[in-house]
Amino acid sequence: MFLYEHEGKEIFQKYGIPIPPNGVAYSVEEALNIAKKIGYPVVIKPQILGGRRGKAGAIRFAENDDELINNAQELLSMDIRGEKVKRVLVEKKVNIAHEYYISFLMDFYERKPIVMFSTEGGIEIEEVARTKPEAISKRYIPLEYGMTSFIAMEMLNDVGIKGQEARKFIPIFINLWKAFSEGDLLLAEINPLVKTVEGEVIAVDARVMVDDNAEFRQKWIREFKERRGGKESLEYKAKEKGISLVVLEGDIGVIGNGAGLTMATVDLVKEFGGEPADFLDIGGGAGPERVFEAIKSIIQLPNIKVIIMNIFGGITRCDLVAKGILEALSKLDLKIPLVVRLTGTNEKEGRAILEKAGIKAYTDMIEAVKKAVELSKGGE
Amino acid sequence: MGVLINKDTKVVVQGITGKEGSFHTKLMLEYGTKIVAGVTPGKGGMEVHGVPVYDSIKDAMKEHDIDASIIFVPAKFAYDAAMEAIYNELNPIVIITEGIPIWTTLKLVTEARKRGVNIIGPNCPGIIIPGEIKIGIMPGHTFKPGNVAVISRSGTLTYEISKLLSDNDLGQSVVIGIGGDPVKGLTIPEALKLLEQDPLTKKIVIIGEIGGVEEEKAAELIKNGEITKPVVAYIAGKHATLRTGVSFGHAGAIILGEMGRPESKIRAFNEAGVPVARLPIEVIDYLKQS
Repeated sequence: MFLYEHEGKEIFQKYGIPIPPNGVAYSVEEALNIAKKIGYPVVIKPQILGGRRGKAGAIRFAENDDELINNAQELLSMDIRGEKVKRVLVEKKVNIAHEYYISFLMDFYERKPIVMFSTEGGIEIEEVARTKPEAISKRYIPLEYGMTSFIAMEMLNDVGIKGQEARKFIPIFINLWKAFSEGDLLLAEINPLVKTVEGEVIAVDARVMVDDNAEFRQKWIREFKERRGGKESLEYKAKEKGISLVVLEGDIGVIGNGAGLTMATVDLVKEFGGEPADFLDIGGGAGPERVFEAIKSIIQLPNIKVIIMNIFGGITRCDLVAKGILEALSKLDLKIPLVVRLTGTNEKEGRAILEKAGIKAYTDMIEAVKKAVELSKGGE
Repeated sequence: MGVLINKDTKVVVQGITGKEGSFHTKLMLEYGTKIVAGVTPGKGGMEVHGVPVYDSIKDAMKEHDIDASIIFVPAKFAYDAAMEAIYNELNPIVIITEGIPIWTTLKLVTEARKRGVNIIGPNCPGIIIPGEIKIGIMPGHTFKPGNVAVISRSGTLTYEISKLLSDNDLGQSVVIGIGGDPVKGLTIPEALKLLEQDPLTKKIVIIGEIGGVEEEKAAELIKNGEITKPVVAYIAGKHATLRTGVSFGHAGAIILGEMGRPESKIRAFNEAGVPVARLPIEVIDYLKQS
């Protein structure tokens, strides 16, 4: 899960990484109160997960109440690459002397953490790598030792920062590593890391990704999730019930068992000219309850015209899936057609249950998907 | 002979007294797997489907020869269970458990490599040599003996494609479900190298998906000529580009910026001369042509 900038900064602050005074506002009024408290000039930043806000012209400055009101109002009604802005971060503007870059990230393939530092901050690191690779220093971190001061010093020297000047940056390396390794983070990026005119080193942005699997030992992940709302809530609620849901934008509801098979179903819907509304994986060994919950989640999506359910029973039993479908049909007011593909463990029993309710299940997934696409286009 | 395991491999089930562990112990025994012991700390002395249960692997090894382990322990306790198997140098160690934090897997894999032990998974269906042995949770009847090897990041999609293979007289030499996590033990390139050496395997199917760079690295091996057997691929999540930065069911099925995109995987395979099936059934056509 990616964190919003303000959430990432909360973590940074906990680990002793300096950030400018700030506050999160959901309304213009709240923004005004925060600005009054921290004092002008301020910067106003929309809190979105997509990044590249600067390029979208969505980072604004204000010297006084009038400017703040205008900018906050505009930002709070913005839509940035499909993401609606619900909150802004109002933050004290810092006097920038120079912008740097630092990040820790997990190299999944090499199975090692990486640290990167660059003297070219404020732009994307991929661009620096292309145009000025000598400005980047990069190391793998051995798990046995973790991040050490001498490695930080070597890296700083590599990019031309030396002596007393270099020492100012070392706590950032050490503390960000602590946040990264103790917090089950997969990415902890500060871009830009700013050296102010006054000589301080401050994190002005935060891009953080946390491992969802670590929720059982990182209690704050749950708190953050509960604080969030909106588009994610249906996905969040599904997850609580053991269902993986990713909301897309089409009109064909996709339900499957197993991530690979469900992704393949989404792909097939597209291949045959349909538009998937979601990806929903009921997970391994699902019983009737999870099937019921899956259908219940899907019909809450806007514009749904048909549901395609693709089940290949392995540990999941077809008869239990069929029972869940019947329960959904009797308890939910299902106004749209449901196309079912059912094969594998206890297939016969599952089919028998569905047939009694007048549903003929497909064996072949391609035929089933084609039928669903046809129905979404108004076919019979 | 066999890849990583063979019909004589003796297996311990860690977490055998749990619901999943017990259920799949029964199915594995029915398939012919030699399950010689189970381990659940605190439940030593019990029996599950006729298999004796011990408090620790060390204790079990006093009474039995044990080669390999399969782990059903919940994510919270999986670190301890897997470390115990690594410490006792069981090989391979199949971790079925879903939801293990990545930092934990990282530590496990680092230690396993130091000791020369193979981990399969986590979050995987396991490994099967059809007709001989199954160390995993896949439905046995879906598979048939033969000479096509399958490496997959998925569970049910593996069953789907394996069933298509079986129905079309393309039996399998081995099917390895390496799992859906971003950090894992055995990777696609490592599995490919093992299969290249396997005399039973004539052709290879890779079932990849979005996320990570394993498919690209595998394509490099094929392009370099390190893998000479014919390979056919299928990539799940071709249209997952509709939303990036979120996981599609598997923790590892995620597009991060430019990394993990399906088009990069398909391009890499095509450049290595590996056909990528658009529909699952096309895997069969490509295999027959190769």
